[in-house]
Amino acid sequence: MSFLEKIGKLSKFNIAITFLSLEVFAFIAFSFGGSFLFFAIMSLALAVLLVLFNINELKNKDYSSMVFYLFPIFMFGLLIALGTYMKGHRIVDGEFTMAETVFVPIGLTSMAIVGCALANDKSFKISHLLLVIYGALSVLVLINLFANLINFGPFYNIIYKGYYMYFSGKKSSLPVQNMAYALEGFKIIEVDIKHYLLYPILLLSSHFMLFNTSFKQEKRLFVTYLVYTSVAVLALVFVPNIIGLAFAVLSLLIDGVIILFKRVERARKPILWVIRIGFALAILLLLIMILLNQDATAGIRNIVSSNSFLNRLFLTNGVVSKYNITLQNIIGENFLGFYYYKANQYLTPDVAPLSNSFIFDSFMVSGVIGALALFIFLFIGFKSFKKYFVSNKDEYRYQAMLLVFLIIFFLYSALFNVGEYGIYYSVNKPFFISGPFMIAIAILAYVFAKSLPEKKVDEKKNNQVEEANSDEK
Amino acid sequence: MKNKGLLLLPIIFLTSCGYSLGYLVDGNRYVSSNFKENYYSHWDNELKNAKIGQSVVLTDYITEFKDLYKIDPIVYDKYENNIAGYTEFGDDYKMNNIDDMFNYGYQSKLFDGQMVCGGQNGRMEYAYQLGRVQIDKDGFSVRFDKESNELKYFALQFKATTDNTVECYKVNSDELARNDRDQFHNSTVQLTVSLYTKNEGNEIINNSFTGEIDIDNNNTNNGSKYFMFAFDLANYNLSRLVGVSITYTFDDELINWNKTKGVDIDYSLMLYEILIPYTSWN
Repeated sequence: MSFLEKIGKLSKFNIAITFLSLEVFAFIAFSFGGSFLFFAIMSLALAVLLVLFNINELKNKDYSSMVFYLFPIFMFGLLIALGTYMKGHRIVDGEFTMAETVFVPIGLTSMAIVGCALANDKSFKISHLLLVIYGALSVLVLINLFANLINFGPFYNIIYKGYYMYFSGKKSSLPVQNMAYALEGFKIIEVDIKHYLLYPILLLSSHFMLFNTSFKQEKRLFVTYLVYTSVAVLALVFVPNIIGLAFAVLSLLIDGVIILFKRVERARKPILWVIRIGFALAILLLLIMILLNQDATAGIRNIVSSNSFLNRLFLTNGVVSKYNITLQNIIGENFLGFYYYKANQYLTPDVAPLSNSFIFDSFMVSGVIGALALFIFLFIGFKSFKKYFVSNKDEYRYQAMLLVFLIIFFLYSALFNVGEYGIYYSVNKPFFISGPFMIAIAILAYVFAKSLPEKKVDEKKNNQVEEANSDEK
Repeated sequence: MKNKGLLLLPIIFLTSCGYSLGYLVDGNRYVSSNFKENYYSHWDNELKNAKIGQSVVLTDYITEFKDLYKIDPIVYDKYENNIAGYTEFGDDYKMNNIDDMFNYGYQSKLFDGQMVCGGQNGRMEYAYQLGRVQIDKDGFSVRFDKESNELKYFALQFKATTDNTVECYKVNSDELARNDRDQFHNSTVQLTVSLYTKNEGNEIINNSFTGEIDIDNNNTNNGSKYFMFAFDLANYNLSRLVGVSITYTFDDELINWNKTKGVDIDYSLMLYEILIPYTSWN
């Protein structure tokens, strides 16, 4: 018996590993302990086990495509580990241990492998994964909500607008309407409200199930998702914020578009065109912003700043102003595009504050090539949804929920991501070491693997087997 | 199901304690360029209505940091009598080293170890206003969440100043003062520190300690001197400390002279740090 055949016998214990996978996802979705290193180690162990326990299945699939798909996310992680961001912080303020740095490419790639392996795991159901992820998120959101109610009470950010908190003699850097309490590791700390809002906004995407489940026929499932949605709604209502409201409306809009796409065939082409145009506009906007922040284009920047509308749109509104700080130094001295401050105060490379967007942060932490690798990974992953939907390998409503979750997460992270969200306690969690990002990678890899066609079996061998079978008869 | 779901709502409302609301301050408070608007005058009701206990007029106390070794011999020669020494002492003895409760609220400025003015440092809010708490003669109080039984001594680091934005006359002169140096003046402050303790019946008792301090060489806001009012508590048999208040009366020659000229000037103590070292709280 060959080694692979021996390993293949482990597949009868598959169900145990599938259960373990759900537990790992629950820990990561809950951000248990807040430790990226812990998540990365778990994901590595899980990836190894899943591959071993599903070796028989993976043999029959197009695993070479899966391996190629892992390459860009591995490159992204590797360039982060080799880049100046984590090293600079390690030297300047002691953040990011060597172990965390080394495990960035390992952790991110392992999550992608987990996604691919689960797509080929017969005992795995995507419905269970979604229940677990939303369940963990709902516990986290509930804890954060209670922390805010206990400390501030409901609607505090409206009632006490303009107030500041004093702690250790210092006035908070943000007014209370931009602050919230949230679980960080094993303690409750004061955070930027944009960090608090990420989780209920992600949780709110579970309401898609309510539009696609019959209460009479699947009462338990409906009620479960109703509870998840209710927790999200309560968390957003009692800590009201324009961002939360905008994303609540947006998630309903996305639901509507997906349902329309599914049910009305004539609507599909226009919707796809709108998405393509929107995507092209976003890239154009990105290029304009990069252009406006380079020294060579100071003349163009002056023209923009002289027009009040363009000035507000590209230079001075609260969303872009943080991007501009990063973009002004995006093409650094290194040919790979690693980031350096122009006024370098330290002997070692300095680090910039994180922007509000994972798009610009990815340039800063991994350079131009690393950022491109990430965008390639995301592009292929999202593009795979088309084949995934057509493949019917999972129920449509679960396929759609994965898409809604990813759109909400990446859209929020593109506009309101906060890595340094501690008000009084120093916290630095760039998006690439956050729980939701790791889950998003796994989901994208899952969708990609599911969208792959079955491996073509050698026809000659097939005929020989059929002949042998008919002879026996 | 309906009933179970509704249970969540009262639970949510019951948890809405607003425990940290007491630490919130309006963003425009205490940072005004108008001197009169920056007085901190918060009084805890229970402390305000406390029973009167012992009222001590102190005869044995110190008024400068350089003499603190007379009360606390450990500090002798350890800290220089200058800004660097104050800073080092503050970092070592600050109350928020002892218990986390001293970190919360506006009054945490008095327990953070910042014993001196922060300077201008560009932004108004990160300058002198960061370190100090400005009080008028009616003072303020601080209620502690816990009690302490071991009281060795009490120390208060402060400055005295007048409002130098008001056009005023030089002392004993008909000439208007052009700057801070022209406003040179002396004053006397009777400082009363009240230490609130609980008796066996859990009633709060006000134990007050008063000392007189000569504020000499006062150049108003510009370069006025730091004072440290400190006294030993060993002989006063105090236990179960739950709060502190500071009030004062004063006699200032610049203010008195300008009053005769029909000019009203505000006076203030700028408190930098309250220290009750070697205590434990529970």
